[in-house]
Amino acid sequence: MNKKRLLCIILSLTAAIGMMLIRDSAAWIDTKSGEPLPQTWAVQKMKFDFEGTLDSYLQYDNGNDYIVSGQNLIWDNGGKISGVYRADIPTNVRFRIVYDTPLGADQVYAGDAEEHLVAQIASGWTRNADGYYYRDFGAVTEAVDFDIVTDIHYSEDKVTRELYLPEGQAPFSGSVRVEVQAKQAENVDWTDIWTTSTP
Amino acid sequence: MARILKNCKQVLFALVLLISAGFLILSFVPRLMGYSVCCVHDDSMQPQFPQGAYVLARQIPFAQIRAGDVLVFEEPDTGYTFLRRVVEVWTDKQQLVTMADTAKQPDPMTTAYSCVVGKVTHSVPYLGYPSVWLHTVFGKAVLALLYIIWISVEIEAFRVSKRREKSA
Repeated sequence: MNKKRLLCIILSLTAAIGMMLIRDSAAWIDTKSGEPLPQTWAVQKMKFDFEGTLDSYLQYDNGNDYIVSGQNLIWDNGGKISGVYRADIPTNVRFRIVYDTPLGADQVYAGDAEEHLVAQIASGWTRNADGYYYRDFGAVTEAVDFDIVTDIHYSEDKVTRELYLPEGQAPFSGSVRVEVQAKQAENVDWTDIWTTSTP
Repeated sequence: MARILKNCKQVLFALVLLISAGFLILSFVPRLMGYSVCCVHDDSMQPQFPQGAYVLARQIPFAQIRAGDVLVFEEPDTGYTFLRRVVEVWTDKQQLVTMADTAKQPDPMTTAYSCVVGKVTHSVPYLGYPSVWLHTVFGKAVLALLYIIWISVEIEAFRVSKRREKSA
C-alpha cells in the first residue's frame, strides 16, 4: 500500500477517535451528589418591590377616563415610579415605556423631542437601541432604593385637539404602560417582573 | 480523464489531511495545555453556547466560583457531562445551584463541587458539530463504513499494482 495513503488513513482515524473522545454535554442532569432544592427557591430570587401607578386624573360624565396633556400620569408615590432592590447576586434590570397615539399603537418611548409622550427617566439608566433602559445592580446586603421614572405626561405641544379630539368623531382612546423586566445573569431569559398601565 | 481523476484524488487526499490535522489540533492540543474540551450536544445553553459549540474549560478552585459562571460538570457515577450556569454557591456544603440559560427555573438538584470539570473560558460556535455527530450511533456507523470502504479500495489497489508489477 502507498505509504502516504496509509499515513493518511492512520492520521484521519486518530483524528476521528480524538473527536470522539471529546466530552459530549448531555441535555439532562442526573446528579446523585447534589441535594434537592426547596420548591420556593426560584421565587425567592427576584427580590424587587415597585411603587408608582399610572392613572388618568379625570373622568367623563359617562365614566370613561381621560388624560390631560401636561399632567403627570403617575398619580401616587410622589409622582414617580420607584423600586427597592434586595437581591444577593448581581441582577440586570430593564424597562420601557409603551404608549399609544393616533399615529400608531404600542410606540416605544425613545426620548425624542418629536414624540407625543414626555418622560423624565431617573439617573442611572442607559437607553439601548431596542427601546429599553438598562441598569445593572450588584449583590447587596441591605435594600437599595432606586427611581425609574419621575414624570410621564403627554406633550402639551404635540397633543392637539385636531388630532386627539377630531370634530364629529370619537376621541382617541389609548394607554401608557411601563414594563419592567429583570434577569440574574448574562444570557438568561428576561422575565417580566412588574407592569403598570393607565386604565 | 485519467488526469482529472488523479487531480481529484490529490485534492481529496489533501482535504482529508487538512481536516484530520484540524481535528487533531481541536481534540489534543487544548488537553496538552491543561484545558478540558467539551462539545455542546443540546440547545439548553443558547444563545451563548448553541448546539454544536466547541468549549474549553479550565479547572477552578471552589473559592473562585461565582454566580454567573458557566461550568462543565461530570457526574462520576453515570459519566454524563453537562454545561450549566451557576446561579448560587452554597459555600458551607460546597454545592452549586445551577440553571440552563433557556430554563425559567434552576435545576431541581444542586451539584457537588467534586463534579466540576472546569470553568468555560473559550467557546467557538459550530466547531463541535463533527464531534457531536461522531457521538451518535449513526455517525459512528457512517464513519466505520467509510473506513471499511476506503481500506478495501486501498487493499484492492495495492493488489492490482502488485499483479501489474509481476506481469511486467
